[in-house]
Amino acid sequence: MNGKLAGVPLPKLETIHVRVDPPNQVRMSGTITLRDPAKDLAVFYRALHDATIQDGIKELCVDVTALTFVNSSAIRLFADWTTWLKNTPPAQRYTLKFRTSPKLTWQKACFSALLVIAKDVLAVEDA
Amino acid sequence: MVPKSPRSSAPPGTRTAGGRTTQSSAGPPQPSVPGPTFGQRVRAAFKTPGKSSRPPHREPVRRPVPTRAPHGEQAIALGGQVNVLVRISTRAGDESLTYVHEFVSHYATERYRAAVAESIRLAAFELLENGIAYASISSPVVIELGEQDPWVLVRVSNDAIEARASRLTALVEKLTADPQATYLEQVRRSVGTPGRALLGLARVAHEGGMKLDAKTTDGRVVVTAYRRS
Repeated sequence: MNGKLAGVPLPKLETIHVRVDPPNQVRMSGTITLRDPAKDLAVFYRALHDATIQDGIKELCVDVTALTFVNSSAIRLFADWTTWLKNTPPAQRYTLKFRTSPKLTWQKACFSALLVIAKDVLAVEDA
Repeated sequence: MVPKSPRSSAPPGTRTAGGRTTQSSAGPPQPSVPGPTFGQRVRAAFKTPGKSSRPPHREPVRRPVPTRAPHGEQAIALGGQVNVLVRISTRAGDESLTYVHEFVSHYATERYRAAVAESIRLAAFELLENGIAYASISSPVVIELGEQDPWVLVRVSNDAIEARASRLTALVEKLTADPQATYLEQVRRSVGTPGRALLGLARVAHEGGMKLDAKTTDGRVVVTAYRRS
């Protein structure tokens, strides 16, 4: 483990707060309503993905319990992330674990669907 | 009953995104007066110390209901009356989506239990985003929040080309038949594709647990999402 995750640049967005807590925790809070969040967030997720592989981390935990609302484009970015992971060689793969709030309906529906699409690389845990 | 167009049926005194009342649309053009934007006024209303965030009381306005009820017994009854609580008019290309969504979300949070408010919040965002994305610049996009016991509804109307309206109707029928499977299919399809995710209606139906209705009248498409309050 060489600490690449800790050096990932955070996205500078008005409505969302992101924190990276090494060795393997990421916390996201706020809302994502940008028309095109990919410009900032896809870059951030990709950097997290690459850093996690480089650090040899076997499970990356993303806490979204305080992420109260996201738009469709943001959901697509989570789906894209699972696809990158599925396309990673098995030896380098890690488990992407989302910590969710059972009180937020969007999280229940969204991450249940992602589990169907990427059950071999994804885990979901209720807070 | 043939519903009036959103512009002509606007209840008197209804606030619009530009701060005008719909009464002014029937009279001569008003001179343009510089002032705070709609978003600034919404934010100011929510941030003024000592001022309640609860929206001001408005007299209920009786309006026509959707003329099509594809959901059998669970659909909004034909011929019933909708009590419109909020009606906001904006335009394609406006940056008002966030502010309008913020206003409707606050209103819903004040008025309904958490699960219902969350559904309304989702529907308001997704339907309005669709309306703003697909409407032409010159035409208003109108969002309404209303009630028809026991339903609460979010309704967005905008102009649309026929092909778009047909695709919309087909998608609504698919979502009505199986919201969960259609949602999953849409999520799969969205992966890795550029541009808009096009998940909005599927989210409203599946995540929000809302029923959908779409109809086209005089070149305007009206999408209604509703659920029990």
